[in-house]
Amino acid sequence: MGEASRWLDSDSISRFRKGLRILALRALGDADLAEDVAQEVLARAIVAAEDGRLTPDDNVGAYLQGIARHVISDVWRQQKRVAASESVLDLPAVPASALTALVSDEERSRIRDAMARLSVGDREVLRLSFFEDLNSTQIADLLGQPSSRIRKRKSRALQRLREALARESHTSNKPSD
Amino acid sequence: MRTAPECQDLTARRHVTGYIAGSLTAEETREFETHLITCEWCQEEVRLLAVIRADLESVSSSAHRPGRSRRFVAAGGLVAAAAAIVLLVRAPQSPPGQGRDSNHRAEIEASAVPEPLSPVGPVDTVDEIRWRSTPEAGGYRLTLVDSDGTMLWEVETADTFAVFPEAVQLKRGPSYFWKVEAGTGMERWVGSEFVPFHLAASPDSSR
Repeated sequence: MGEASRWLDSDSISRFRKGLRILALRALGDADLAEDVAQEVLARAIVAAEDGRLTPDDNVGAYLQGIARHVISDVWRQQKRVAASESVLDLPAVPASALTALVSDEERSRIRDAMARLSVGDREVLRLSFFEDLNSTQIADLLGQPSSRIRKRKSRALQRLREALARESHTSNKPSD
Repeated sequence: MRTAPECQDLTARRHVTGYIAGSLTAEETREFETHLITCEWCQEEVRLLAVIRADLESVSSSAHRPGRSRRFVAAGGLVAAAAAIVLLVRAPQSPPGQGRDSNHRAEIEASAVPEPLSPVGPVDTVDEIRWRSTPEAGGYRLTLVDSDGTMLWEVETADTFAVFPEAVQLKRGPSYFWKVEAGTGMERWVGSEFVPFHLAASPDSSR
């Protein structure tokens, strides 16, 4: 890596790769293709940084996203899933099940176990939040509970699931590397 | 444990669910992805919520019944999923070395469990609760609880249905759970798992 791109350190590149992989997986539904897209985008970004076309003062996220959309569009066209003139911007996302490729079997098992340990009420709040897309005020109205209590239950339940996902992640984070 | 600093972009945090569900506008998606690429916290949130949603969708689709409307599956299936996913996780596993006798006994015990029929998932009204009879049941015990686990109603009957009492007032929206147990003599009860249902929002409701 040249002088101009030293600001793109390994931590940054690792973080960007994770984000790009999510973006690509959501668009393509294929973990291997998503990894290829992430690598291609990062390779182009590094070249751009060395050429001085990408600097720390730029909106790096927007820059990477722009490249990623071009690369993903190319994949779609190679697969003849869209015409050359079409954009991927409005294409529907793949089902959430495809995104589980981001999570190892062990991590998924831990999340399920943590879900099972939640109270029925907390699971209900999560269901209404994440599957019925209701906000805390709407859930509070439905359940006849103060919205502050709903927010607390949701926060507590999510925190337990986050901890389950993060636990021992150093031994099981291969899909998210 | 995760060391990523908690995301302070409240708009982005609100968009995680919509991003996974595919319900964001093109502009919202673009803005969120710009953020997502650089935010490790939101990346982890996407991973977590994708798993939760996918598991519930999976259980939902397996619970699909012919003749249900799309809305029924979308809402009711997911309602069932919240309970069913727990059942999947907690389902007892056969210890190693169990033979055919114990498997046969398990089958017999399974056949003695009454099967809840209705209500399940979203319903317009609840006039009665019905279940499938089991052989040799001396009677049935029905239990209804709310999402907090508070018991709302319990009744014993020799029938395979129970008329819903007017004294129990259900709200539209929140889930309730019921189970039925079959009395097999010697004060022994064999029960179903809790089944979720809820009164669907009225047609003129926004949801």
